[in-house]
Amino acid sequence: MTEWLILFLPFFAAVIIALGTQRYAKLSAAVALTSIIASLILTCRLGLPELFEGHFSTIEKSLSWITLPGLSFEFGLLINTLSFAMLLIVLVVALCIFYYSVEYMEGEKGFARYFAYLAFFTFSMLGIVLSNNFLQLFIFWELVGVSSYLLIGFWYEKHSAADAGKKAFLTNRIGDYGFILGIILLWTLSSTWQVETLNFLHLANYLAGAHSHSHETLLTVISLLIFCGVIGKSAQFPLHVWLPDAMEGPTPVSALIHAATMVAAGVYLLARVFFLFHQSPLALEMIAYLGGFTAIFAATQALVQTDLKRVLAYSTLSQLGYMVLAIGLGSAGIAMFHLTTHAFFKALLFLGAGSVIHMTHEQDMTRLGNLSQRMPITTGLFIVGALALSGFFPFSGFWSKDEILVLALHQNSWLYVIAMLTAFLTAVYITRAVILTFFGSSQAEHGHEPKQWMLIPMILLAILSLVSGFRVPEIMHQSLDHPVHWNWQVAIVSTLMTLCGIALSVWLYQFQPQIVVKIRGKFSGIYQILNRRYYMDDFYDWVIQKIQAPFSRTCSAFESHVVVQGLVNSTARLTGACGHWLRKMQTGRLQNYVTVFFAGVVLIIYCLMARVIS
Amino acid sequence: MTLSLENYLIVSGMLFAIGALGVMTRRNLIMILLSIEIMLNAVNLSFVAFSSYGDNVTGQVSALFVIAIAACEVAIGLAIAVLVFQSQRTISTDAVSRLKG
Repeated sequence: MTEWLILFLPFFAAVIIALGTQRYAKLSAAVALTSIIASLILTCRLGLPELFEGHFSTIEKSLSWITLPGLSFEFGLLINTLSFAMLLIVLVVALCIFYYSVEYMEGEKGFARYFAYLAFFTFSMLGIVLSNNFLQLFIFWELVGVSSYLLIGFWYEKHSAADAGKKAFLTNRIGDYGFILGIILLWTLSSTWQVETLNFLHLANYLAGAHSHSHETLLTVISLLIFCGVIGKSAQFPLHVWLPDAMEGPTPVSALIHAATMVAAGVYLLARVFFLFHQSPLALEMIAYLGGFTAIFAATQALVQTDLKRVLAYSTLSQLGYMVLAIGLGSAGIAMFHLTTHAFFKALLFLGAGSVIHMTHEQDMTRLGNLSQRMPITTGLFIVGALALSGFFPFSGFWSKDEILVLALHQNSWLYVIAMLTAFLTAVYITRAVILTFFGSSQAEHGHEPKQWMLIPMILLAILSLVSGFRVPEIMHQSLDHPVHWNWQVAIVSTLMTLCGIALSVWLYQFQPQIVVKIRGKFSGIYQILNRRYYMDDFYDWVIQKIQAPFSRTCSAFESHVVVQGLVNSTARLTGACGHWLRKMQTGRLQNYVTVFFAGVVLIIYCLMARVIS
Repeated sequence: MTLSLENYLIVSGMLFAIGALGVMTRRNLIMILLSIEIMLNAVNLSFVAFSSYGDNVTGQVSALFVIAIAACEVAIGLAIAVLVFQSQRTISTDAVSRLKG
């Protein structure tokens, strides 16, 4: 019962707000907050001590949902160490953000609606975390997409926000198409295995006990198709374009959905069904390369963004690339470790950016600056997040990034170099953001510290960003795989990289801003490419306008001229002509009917007579 | 020579065919009514012939019923014809088509 309540409490909150308390802003926020706190308390009671002591026992609850011959679907919850840890992360970050939103969204017209959406999102996210089979997971996966759409387009009167919502939804749809195909394919495969269900545990047990690998090709295809869903949701190249645009939503939403939890759901999915990916080294290799590519690809774009939130968005892309890289290199534990630390420090960074935006109503970094004097606490907290992101010892990001680097070093030196370079770029762009926003020459007119509603969650997240590097890896590794060995060489190189990045950025942006301008002038081509985001959006525009639109026009012409005109209308015309011809029989003249009647009688008599005579 | 049953039946059949042909071809309401009378009487003739040759009075009784009903029918039919003529100034069936769907 407890397990079900954890899942459904936020849903009840959303329903209560939507149906009952929508007119009372404060009450709605209280309902949403209460549901999250209750869920969190129930989760903690479920086995927090056991989690930290390392003997959390798996709980599975399931109801039979659809039973067909050869296949049964369940609606169930599977809580093991992995999903329990994820549950805690989601709920803790969600609590921080709900709390923060109370002040951030104060006075908004849709205040209650916002909390209803947020609670609904939390419900869907918990659904992904807890699902025990593919089909149910897919449903929640889509629900998360819907709530993301609703929240990106929260200020729906703003044209760009509405468009960004649509873009996010449609881009995700492309990935999810692959995902559902993968699920269907897996279903057919599971019936040949006599497993006849999409339950994670059953599939994992079967695959662990299977001797033959006759289905390896098919498993690779399935893995890659399921990974398509991850590409969409976790915004990997080439479906990453929606995430920077999703920053149109309110900043706490960006923090919760588009940094800490939802986009990480893809990585979580990979970890959850790692038993499947484990069977296919080829798929894992492709995943690793794609993750590495996304990491560096996004980091370079973050270098030139002027919008504070967009810098963080590209940074999220890059960090997600790291996580996917770790999965691809075969370690779900390390990916989950980085997911955890990233959730905390990225949420912190976004909330810090939110404070700046809330207080100055400005998010263009070229028009911000020297806020450290007006907002010292926010500055300090933001710097904690930035240091954690850039992997500075002893912040949490250092530990998780270090594990990824060591893993890459052991397995693939190319990816190691890419990951190292990305670490350097990360330090550069986040330091640039810190300097442009909080230091340098002052341009912002106003701004002061936010009230406690916004500060407390940030302080909590800052503490978590500091400490989550220490106990989390043991928890993640005990359930998933063995940790990598500590490697001094990697640690020193990565620290040097980070220091170089920070130093370079401080030198350039704090002390020598004219050099930045000079560099920009000299490499205007590269700058342009980065600023236009490698022309990916332009390319998609071009594809849609020049290829997809003519294609759909052709289809439409085919449909209207051949299908409708040719088949449907001609059938109708044929029927009409027959009717027109038959209508002549219905003259309305009694005598014609009589004639036909007599003719019929004569015919019948003739037939009878012929029979009698013969 | 004696008339056999077949002779009666042939006459009866010819009368019926004449009547039917009249119903089919004529446009005048009165003529159609008369043709129906011819058909009814053709049937009467065959009833009576069967009755007389079969030593059974049922046929004659039937013929009497048919005559009575034919009288009623003519009365109603003529009444309709008169009313149609009053309203339409004609009794051609082609003209009386206001109830046609």
